[in-house]
Amino acid sequence: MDEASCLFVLSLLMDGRPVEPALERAARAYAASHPECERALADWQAQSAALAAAPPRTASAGFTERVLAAAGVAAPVRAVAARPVEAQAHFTRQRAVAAGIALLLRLVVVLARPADLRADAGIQRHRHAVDGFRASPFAPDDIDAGLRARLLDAEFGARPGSHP
Amino acid sequence: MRDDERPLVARLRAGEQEAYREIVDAYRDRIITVVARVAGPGADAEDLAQDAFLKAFAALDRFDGRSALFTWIYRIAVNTARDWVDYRRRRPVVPLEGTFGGPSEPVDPSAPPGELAERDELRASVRDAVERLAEPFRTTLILREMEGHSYEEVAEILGVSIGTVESRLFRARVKLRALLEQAGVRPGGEP
Repeated sequence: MDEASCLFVLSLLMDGRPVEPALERAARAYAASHPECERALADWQAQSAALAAAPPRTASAGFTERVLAAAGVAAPVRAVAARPVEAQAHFTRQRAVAAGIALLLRLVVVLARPADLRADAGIQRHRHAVDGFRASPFAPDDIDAGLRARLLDAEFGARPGSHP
Repeated sequence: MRDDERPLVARLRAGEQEAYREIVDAYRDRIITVVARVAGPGADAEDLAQDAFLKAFAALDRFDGRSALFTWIYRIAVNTARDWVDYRRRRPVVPLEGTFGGPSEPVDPSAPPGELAERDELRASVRDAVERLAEPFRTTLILREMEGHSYEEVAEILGVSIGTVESRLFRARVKLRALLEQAGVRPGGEP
């Protein structure tokens, strides 16, 4: 037997746990010849006594009422909260189906009656500005001519007669 | 579940307020005590005990009667306190009150003052060392040494085997003694 095994058996014996007689004899014999084991056991017993001396706590006045009040509030909340979860799941499913049907209808309408392709006002303005610098889509940019034309362009803030 | 608890459990499940009151009145001190011991310093034991009762009430439908009602609620309380300890160890705070808080310990009028002071000092050192024990050794030791449970009860409360309790308790004692030695304390006195 080694020290750790001896101490383990002593720990069990200290609490009155059943130990095989041969193991108990071996542990006691080892401890008798190894004072460190005896000291460990004495320390454990003192530790145990110190811990067992801790006084119990008692509830403050009104503790029961506080618990019952909290339980009384918690119970209806749980009951109410449990129902909407199912109701919400049902409602969410309904909304998902409705959204799917609406999307499908929209797709059918779009495919049946395709709208004319039109650039929005911003794109048209940009295209106009770019084109103003070119005589044709294939011509190189003429910056001077483009700026002069822009000075006369009402869309860029030119007023009639303000520029030559 | 004990036979004499069946009517009470039925009343609890029926939502009878008086049954809830009986349970809280009967168990509150032991629940608060174990929660205070397991949660340690800085914990509001009454708040945690209240949480434990509320958890138990909310889970009554899952109480299968394999253990006594008190053991079942007690286990919930221990787990509530251990959860709090885990939370606290992730977010350390400075404790505002003593570990095992509450009332002062009973004083033995026959003991000489010097001996009393020495004993109080030893108890304080031991309890401080318990706070430094790692889980699950700390809770196992508290349930055995402070709460006075048998190995079988500790095993049932923690949901482990008796062999595990034996092993954890042994290691807890060894570690606690080492921590005390580091602090220069010999609980059993000088050799």
